[in-house]
Amino acid sequence: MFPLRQRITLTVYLTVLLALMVVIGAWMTTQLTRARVASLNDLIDASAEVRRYRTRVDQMQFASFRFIASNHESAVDRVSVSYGDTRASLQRCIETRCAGEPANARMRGLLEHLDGFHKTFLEAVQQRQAIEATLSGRFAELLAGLHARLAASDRLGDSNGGDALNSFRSHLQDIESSAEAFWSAGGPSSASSPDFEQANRVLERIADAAPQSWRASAESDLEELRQLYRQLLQRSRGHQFLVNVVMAGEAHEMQMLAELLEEELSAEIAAARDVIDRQLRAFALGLIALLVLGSVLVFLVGRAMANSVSGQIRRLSRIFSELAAGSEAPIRFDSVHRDEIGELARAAERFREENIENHQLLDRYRALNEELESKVVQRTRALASSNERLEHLANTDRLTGVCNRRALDGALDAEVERCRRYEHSLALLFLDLDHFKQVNDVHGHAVGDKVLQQFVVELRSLLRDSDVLGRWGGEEFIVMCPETASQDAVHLAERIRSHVADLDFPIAGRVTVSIGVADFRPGDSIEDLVDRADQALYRAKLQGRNRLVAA
Amino acid sequence: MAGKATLESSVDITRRDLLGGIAAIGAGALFPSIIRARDRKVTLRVLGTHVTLQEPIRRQAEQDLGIDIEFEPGGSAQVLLRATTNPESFDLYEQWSDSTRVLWRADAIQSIDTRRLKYWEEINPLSKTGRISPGASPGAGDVPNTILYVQPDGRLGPEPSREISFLPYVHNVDSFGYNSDVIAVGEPYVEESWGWLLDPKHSGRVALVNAPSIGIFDLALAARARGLIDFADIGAMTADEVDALFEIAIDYKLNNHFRAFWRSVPDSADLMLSGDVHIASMFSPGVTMVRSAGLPCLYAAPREGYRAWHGVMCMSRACSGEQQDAAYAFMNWWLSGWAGAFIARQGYYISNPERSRPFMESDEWGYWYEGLPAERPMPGPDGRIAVEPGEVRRGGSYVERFENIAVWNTVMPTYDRTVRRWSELVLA
Repeated sequence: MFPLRQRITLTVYLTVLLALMVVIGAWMTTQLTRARVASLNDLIDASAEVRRYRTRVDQMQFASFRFIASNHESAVDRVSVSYGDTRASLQRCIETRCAGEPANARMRGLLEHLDGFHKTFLEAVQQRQAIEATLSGRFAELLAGLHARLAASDRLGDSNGGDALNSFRSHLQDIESSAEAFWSAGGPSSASSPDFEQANRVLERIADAAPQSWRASAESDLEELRQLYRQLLQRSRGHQFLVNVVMAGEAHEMQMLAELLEEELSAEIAAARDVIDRQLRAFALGLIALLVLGSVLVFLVGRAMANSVSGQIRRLSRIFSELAAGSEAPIRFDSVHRDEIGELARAAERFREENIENHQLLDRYRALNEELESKVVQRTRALASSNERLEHLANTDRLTGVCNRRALDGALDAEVERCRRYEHSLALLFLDLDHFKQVNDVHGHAVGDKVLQQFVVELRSLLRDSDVLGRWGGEEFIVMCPETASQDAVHLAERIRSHVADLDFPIAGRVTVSIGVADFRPGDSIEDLVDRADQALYRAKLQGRNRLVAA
Repeated sequence: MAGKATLESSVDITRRDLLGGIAAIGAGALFPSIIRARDRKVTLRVLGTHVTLQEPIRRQAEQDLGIDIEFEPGGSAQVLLRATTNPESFDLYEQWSDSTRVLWRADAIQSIDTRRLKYWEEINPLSKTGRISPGASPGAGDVPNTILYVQPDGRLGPEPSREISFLPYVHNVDSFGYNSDVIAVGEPYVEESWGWLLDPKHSGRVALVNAPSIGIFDLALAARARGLIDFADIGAMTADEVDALFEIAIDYKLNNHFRAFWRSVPDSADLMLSGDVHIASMFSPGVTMVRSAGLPCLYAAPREGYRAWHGVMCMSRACSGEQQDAAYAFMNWWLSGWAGAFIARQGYYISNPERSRPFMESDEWGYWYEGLPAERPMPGPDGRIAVEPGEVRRGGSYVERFENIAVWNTVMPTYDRTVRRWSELVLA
C-alpha cells in the first residue's frame, strides 16, 4: 500500500485520466462524425453533380438529335458547350474521387461514352457536311452540266431524241430527288435508288445522234455522277449508322450509367447515413461504457483508498478510545509508512506506553491505599471492641456479668417511661440472698463470690429473654419484667425462690433467697416502684426469710 | 474487275447494294490505330478489324514473307466506309461475308484468281457449298458460297467459277453467353435457346450487341423461339416483319428488359463481370475473357442453331503489280497453317483446318476442332491459360457446330430500315 498522500494523488490522477479519456473520446467522435458527414456531403454533392450531369447529357443528346433532324447549326455549338461542361465536371468528380471507387468506375465509363458520343457526333456532322458539300458542289455541278448538255442537244434538234431527252431528264430528276431524300425521308433507301443503268441506256440512244465529243463527255459525267451518288449513298449510310447505332448506343449507355450511378449514389448515401448512425451510436455507447467503467474504477479505487484511510483511522480511533480507557494491549497496526497515519500509529504507541506507566503508578498507589485502609479498619475494630468492652464494663456487674446498678437504672428509666406512656404493665422483683454475710464470713469472700455467680446462672435459666436482671448491690438483685402482671411476677418469684431453695451451692451449701414483688402503678416513679419492692422484700425478711412478699 | 460495268443492271443487286457488314465485331471500333512498317520494302496495307488484325499475326507474316505489313484495324462501319469510298487507301480488306456485296457493288474490290491461291483445293465445303457435311442444313441468310463466286454476268452467286470475291478463311458461330451462377445450366442443343434472351426472368440483365445487322438476328431468333413472331425467311425479313420485330423489342425495352447494347468485346465482358448483365449476345473472345476472369460464363449451343459468320479477305480494286503479288503471298500465308493455328486458340476456325493441324498440339486440335475434353490447361493466343483440363467446347466439334446454323450474318434488303429503327429501340 502506498502512503496516504500518494493514494489520494493516485485517485485524483485516475479521475483526471478518466475525464481526459472521455474528453478524447468525445473529441474523436466529433472528428469522426465530422469526417463522415463531410464524406456524406461529398456523396450528396456528387449525387447532385450526377443529376446535373444527366440533365446536361439529355440536353446534349437533344441538341445532337435536333441537329441531325433539322440541321440546326446552332445545335452543334450547344452540343460542344454541353459536352465541354459535362466533361469538365465529370473529370473533376473523377479526379477528386467525389464518390467512392465503384462510382468512380461508373464515371470513367460515363466519360468514355461521353467522349464516344461526342466524337461520333462530330464525325456525323463531318459526314453530313461532306455529303452536303458534295451535293451542292460537284454533284450539283455534274447535274447542271448534264442538264445544260441536254438543252444544247435539244437545240441541235435531235430527231429521234425527244422522248429520250425527256426520259433522261426525268432520270436526272430521279437522281437529284433521291439524293435529297438522303435527309428528308429519314435516310437513304435502296428502294428509291435511281436507275443509272437505265439512264445510261437512254444516254446511249441520245448519243447516237449527238457528236462524239458530246457523247464522251456526257457519258463520263454520268459515270462520275454514278460514282458520286454511290459514294454519297455510302456516306449517308455511314452517317445513319453513326447516328442511329453508335450515337444511340453511347447515349443509351450514358443514360443507363447515369441512372445506375444515381441509384448507387442514393444507396451509398443511405448506407453512409446508416454508418454514421451506427458509428455515433457505437461511440456514444462506448463513451457511456467508458464513463461507467471509469466511474466504477474511480469509485472502487476511491473507496479502497477511503477504506484504507478510514479503516485505519477507525482502527486508530478504536485503539485510541481503548487507550483512553487505559488499554495496554499491544497495538496491531501495520503502518509502515512515514505518513500521517503512520504518525498517528506511532502516537498511539506512545499513548500505550504512557498508559502502561500510568497503570504501574496507579497500582502502586492502590497497594499503598489498601494497606492504609486495612490498618484503619484494624484500628477501628480494636477501638470498637475496646469501646464495647468499656461499655460492657460500665453496665455490667463485674462479678456476675449481669447489669450493674447504673445499667439497671438506665433500663428502669426507659421501661418506666414506656409504661407511663403506653400504660404497659411492669413488675419488679427485688431479691436478696438470705444470710449472705455469714457465708462470706464463714467461707471467705471467694466462696461468697462463687455463690453469687452460680446464683446468677441459675436465675438466668428461669428468666425470659425480655426480663432484665441486674445487681442492685452486695447480694441484692433486681429482675425487671416488662409486660408482666403482678400475678405472673409472683409466680416467677415463687419459682425462683423454690428453685434456689432446692439448690446445693458448693462449699456454702444451702442458701435461700427472699423476694419482694411490686408492680408498676400509674403515677409511680422509679423510686416509688423500687421502694415498694424493697419494702415487700423487707417484709419477707421480716417474715422469716426464704419467702416472697408482694406489695 | 470483271462484271463491273454490268453490276448495276440488276435491280436485285441494287436492292442488295447495302452498307452491310457494319457488324461491330472487333473491339474499340472507334479507336483505330495504325501499326506501322519499318522500312521501304513493299508495304502491304491491310484494312480490317481487331479480330484478325493482330500484332502477332503481322509480325509472323512479315517474318515469313519478308515484306512490310501495315495493319489498320478499325470499327466495322468506319473501315467499310473507307473501303467503299477510298479503295486506293488499302491493298487487302479483312471483314465479314456480309460486307462482300457492298464492296463488290461499290467496285471497291477486285475478284481473286483461284489459280493464284496455293491452297484453294484444300478449302473445305462449308465455304464452297454452304454445307460442312453433306447432311448439314446451310442455314438462312447469305450462305458464304452464295456470294463467293463471280458469275459470268459479273454478279456474285453460288455457281463455282475461277474468280471469287473473297478468300474464305476465318469463321465461327456465335450465340449468347450466360452466367451459370445465376441462370440454371441448360443442355446444349436441347434446352439452351435463343428464347432465353427475351425471358422476362432476366429482365434488366440482358445485353445485345449494338450492331443492327447482327443484333436483329439475335432478336429475331429469340422472338421466334418464344413464339412471338415468325418469318417467311429469317435471312431476308420483309419491312413488315422488321417493324413487327421492333415493336416486340421496343416493348421489352420499355419494360427495361435490356441493360445494355455493347459496342465492343471487352465491353460485353465487363458488363457480365460487373454483374450488370446475366445473359447477352456475345462473341467467343468475350466469353473467354469472362471465363478467364473467373466467372462461369457459358457460351450457349442454342437448339434453334447458331448465328454463323464468315471472315472474308478481299483485294482492293486499286491493288496491282508488286502490291498484288504481296497480297496473294499474304493470302497464301494465311492458309499455310500458322495463322489458322493461332486463331484456333481464340476459338475461330480456318477454312483449311488440316493445314493448321501440324501447328497445334494434338490435344489442342482435339479440344478446338474435335470437341474433345482438354487434357491439360491450354493456352490462348496470348499464352495465358484459356481452357482448364477436362473442359469440353460447348456445342461439340467443328462439324457439329457448323451443322447447326440457324442463320448467317447477312445484310438484308431491309437493312436501312433496321438501322433507322435501331435507335428507336436503343433509346426507347
